[in-house]
Amino acid sequence: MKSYLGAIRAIIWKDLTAEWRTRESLTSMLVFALLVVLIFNFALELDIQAQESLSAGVLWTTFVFAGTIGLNRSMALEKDRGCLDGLLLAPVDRSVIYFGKVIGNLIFMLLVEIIVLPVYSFLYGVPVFQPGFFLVVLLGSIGYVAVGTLLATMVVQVRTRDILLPILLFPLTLPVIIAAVKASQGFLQMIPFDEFSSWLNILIVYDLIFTAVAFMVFDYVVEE
Amino acid sequence: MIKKPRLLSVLDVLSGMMILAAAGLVFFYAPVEQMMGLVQKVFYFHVATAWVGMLGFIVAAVAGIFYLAKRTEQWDITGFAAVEISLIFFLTAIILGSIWAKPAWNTWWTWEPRLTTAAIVELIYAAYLLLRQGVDDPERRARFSAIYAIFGSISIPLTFVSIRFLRTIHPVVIGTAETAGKGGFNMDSPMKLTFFFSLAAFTVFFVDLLWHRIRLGKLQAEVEKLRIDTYSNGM
Amino acid sequence: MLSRLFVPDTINYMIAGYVVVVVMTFGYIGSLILRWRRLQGEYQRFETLRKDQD
Repeated sequence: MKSYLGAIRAIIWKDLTAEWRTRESLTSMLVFALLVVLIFNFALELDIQAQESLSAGVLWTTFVFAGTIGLNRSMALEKDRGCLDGLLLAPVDRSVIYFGKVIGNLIFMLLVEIIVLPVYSFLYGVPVFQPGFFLVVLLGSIGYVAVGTLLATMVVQVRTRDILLPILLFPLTLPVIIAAVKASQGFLQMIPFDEFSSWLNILIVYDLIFTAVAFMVFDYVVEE
Repeated sequence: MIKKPRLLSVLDVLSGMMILAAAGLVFFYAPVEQMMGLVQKVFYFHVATAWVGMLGFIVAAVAGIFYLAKRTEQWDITGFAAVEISLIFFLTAIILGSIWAKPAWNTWWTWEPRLTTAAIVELIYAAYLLLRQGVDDPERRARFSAIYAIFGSISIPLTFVSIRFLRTIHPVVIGTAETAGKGGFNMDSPMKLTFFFSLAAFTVFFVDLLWHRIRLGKLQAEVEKLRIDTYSNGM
Repeated sequence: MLSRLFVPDTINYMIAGYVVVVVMTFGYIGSLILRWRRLQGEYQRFETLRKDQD
């Protein structure tokens, strides 16, 4: 058990140090996310009234788009540098690779969110600083990344890999996104917690289901 | 030359006759619904095609599981065949639903849970086709499509639950639950008979089509092998 | 009889609906037949090619 966690930590650490050297993924995700917010500002005329009800949707769309970039890049790098083959040869359980990559991708996505949220709050005065809301962001990202990592691992082995990930990923993760948007809306619009608490439960259930299934089929994605 | 099995010919005739009989029931036996008028007759085939679409996706997911367990080409061909047929029938069901929605609720599209889920299902399996197209190695293609089909079959019910839940908490202006109630109707027994017979007819038709499509897939695999053999020997 | 007058006239929608059903099903069956024939032809071509080689 200890070596299992150690191996996961090693993979995460590898990703983080590689990223720290260039900071390419994080900066691209971040700049992209801010651009999406900017486009939404003009496309939706996000004035104070409109953003009340739209903020949750705008934020999650931004996270999801930025997340796709990160996922695509993290697996493409593994493949191009031949790291994936190396990882697969390592004498560890395949699920170690899966969870290592999931947590690594999750950290990237959360870092982007941690920067985007205050900026968004600064621009529009949205009350993002609530523990409950942070929990929703975390849970939504977990569900998204759990499926996304699996599909990204699949997509890098495909000829049309650059365009395929969002097409495969968006419709599958829709239940997670719906639940995350609804739960976020509850917090951001200051709706009484009882009225939307069920969305939080749904989100947790979806996370569990998706992570479990992705974990079970991951072996089949990387076998060779 | 691949010989056509006798049973398949029987099934061809049977499904053709059953569909015709179902159409006969729809047009000449089932009464005209008083609130909606003749357009209500679309309902029988609308539900039947949607049912067949669902059936196909369940078959695809089951075939995916069997493929991962057994690794025989047969299951990959079956899964692909089921998805293709389902895409056609689901598309038909969506268009019929839209045709129904126009006179019933005066809009071509409502974000009603079933209709919305059907649209998302189409997108998921369109993505499935794109995925297949992007992989050249047959073994890998089969493996990835199986995984994606299984994942799709898990995501779809969850999507349905979410949207259903969404609509009950937050009714929207167009196509609310109340107007949906107005667009509905009660079935009397001739209608019920027509309804269930249509379901049965389309189920038989589905099995027939699936069989044909699997045969087509096998022939395709055969030709592919021959092509590789010929060119690798000839060159 | 009077209630008959109030039944809305939606026959156009019904016809449109069944035209869609017919077009979709026959279109698909047609595509199956077409693909089958093409593959059958290819199959035979390869068979004869192989016989020539032997």
